[in-house]
Amino acid sequence: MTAVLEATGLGKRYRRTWALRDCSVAIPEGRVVALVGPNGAGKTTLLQLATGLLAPSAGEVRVFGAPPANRPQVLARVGFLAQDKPLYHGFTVAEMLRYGARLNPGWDQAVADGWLERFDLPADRRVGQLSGGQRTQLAVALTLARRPRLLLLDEPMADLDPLVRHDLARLLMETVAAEGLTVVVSSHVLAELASICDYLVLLAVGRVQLADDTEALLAGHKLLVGRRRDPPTARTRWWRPATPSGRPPCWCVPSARSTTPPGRSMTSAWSSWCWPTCATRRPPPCPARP
Amino acid sequence: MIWVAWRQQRPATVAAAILLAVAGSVLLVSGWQVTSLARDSGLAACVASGADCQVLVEAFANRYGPILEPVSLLGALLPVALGVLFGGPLLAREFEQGTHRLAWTQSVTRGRWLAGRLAMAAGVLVVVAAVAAGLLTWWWGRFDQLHISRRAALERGSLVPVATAVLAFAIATAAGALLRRVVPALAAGLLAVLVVAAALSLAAQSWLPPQPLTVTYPAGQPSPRAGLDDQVLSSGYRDRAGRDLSAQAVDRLCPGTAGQALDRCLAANGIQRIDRYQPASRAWQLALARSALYLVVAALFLVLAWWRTLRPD
Repeated sequence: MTAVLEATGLGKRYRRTWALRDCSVAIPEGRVVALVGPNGAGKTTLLQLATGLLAPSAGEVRVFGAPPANRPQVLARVGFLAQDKPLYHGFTVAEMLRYGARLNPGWDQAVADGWLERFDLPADRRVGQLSGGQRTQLAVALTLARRPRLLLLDEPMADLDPLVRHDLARLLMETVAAEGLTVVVSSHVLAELASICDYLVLLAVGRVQLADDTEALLAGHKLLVGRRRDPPTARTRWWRPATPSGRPPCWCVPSARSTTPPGRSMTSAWSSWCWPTCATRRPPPCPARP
Repeated sequence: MIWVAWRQQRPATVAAAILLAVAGSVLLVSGWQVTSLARDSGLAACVASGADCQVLVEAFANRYGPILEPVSLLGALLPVALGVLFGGPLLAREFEQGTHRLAWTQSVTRGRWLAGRLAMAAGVLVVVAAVAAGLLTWWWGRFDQLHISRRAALERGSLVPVATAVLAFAIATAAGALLRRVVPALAAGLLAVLVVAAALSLAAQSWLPPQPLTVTYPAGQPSPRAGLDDQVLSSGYRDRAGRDLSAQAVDRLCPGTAGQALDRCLAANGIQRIDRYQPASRAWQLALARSALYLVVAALFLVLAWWRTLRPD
């Protein structure tokens, strides 16, 4: 198993705060990796370090066996979709694709046209006049037509409606399956990735909490969903599930809004995912009951 | 890369073309007016015949004197404005809109991308600035023909204005790379250009070769080099012993005099005038030396912008 993206002791500091710290993770080839964590966990920082947009403050990151910064052989094989979907607003859709064609020797116009058709994007419309969702679609087309071997997507679904989101995930997976490329998708909502990913990297407070095969993770961690029989009181802490395999315990949070215990509010992002190892140090705060 | 660089340069080029069209039409219309007025008033014929045209020149200067100053300012600011317009947003807009993340994750390296963008912007700028400088030279030429100004000979075509535009471009580009916001980059770029250009202009005058020549002649008499289109840089007084006199010293020597009375007083004391000047024949040499100085400093600023952009955050 060769690692397409390998980080060793990787850290990034902005002035005095560490956005990412001591991150060691190896992403195997051909996997669809979900990079999950709350806002500010360091997902974007990790992805930007992997593209060479940022330089590490500590450790190193290797992509296809080489540090990514400014290397044509790495640049040509990595497709990156930044979180804010940057595009030139004065360009038309067609000009944006021409931009991609001129800057990438491996450009595949048929792929670009195919995506444009699927998304029904008008070629002569200015990028500035497109909706947020359409811009995401154009940015996806622009990234995929480069035919990358490693696809780094930073919260690609954020401004899409559920229907398009589902569609995009499906189309993306078709491409991935057909071409056998490696994908890293970041999100703060695991639910939107759960159906497509087969490898999970969980980031929180700038550190990797967990990185493994999804199936192995699910087998080794007990995910409790549901409502406690006895509602938590001021004195009870959130419960700890049993960990028979000896893996770190997983603090689990009831999934749907309806099952949220009384007096306790969870952000929707976290309600669908359990908070693993860090809970051993920092269990979720307990609600104060009136 | 060429198409990409051109497509990204297009908005600034259109803006520059509009700026040039407005400034150019003002210059062309006023230039033609000057020519026709000089012809109708008989000034052109008088100058051509070589006679003394003092009265006609004064009537003409009364009409057009007031606009010489603003146009002179426009002439100095137009290349600076063009350079800042091209350089300020070049990198700052990419950073501001986050599109540098798009550009730098394509298959071309950052260095090639930057080289392409800079080369295209500088190339278009040189053409636009040359047109602007040509227009201004033509405009000043209308007055030179009438022996009212000596501009064109000294500005020597487009060389110095084009070098000034490139200097402004380099400084504004560096400001954009450092500040990463369009409006602050434009403001800081403009300010820095004015300061640097003024400093370089002074430096060029005082130490850049060829050094000025001097001529001494008795005070109160016309300079032996009158009418030779010299660029007089400074003039002072010198006494019999060859010591330089300050303005206050001259005042003490001949208190309360002016005009011809002052001239007589100075002559009676044996005071000499001393002029530092550059002869008109050196205009090309001066323009070349000054342009070279501007371009060297511009290159330094481009190196700064290059370094800041290629260094990963």
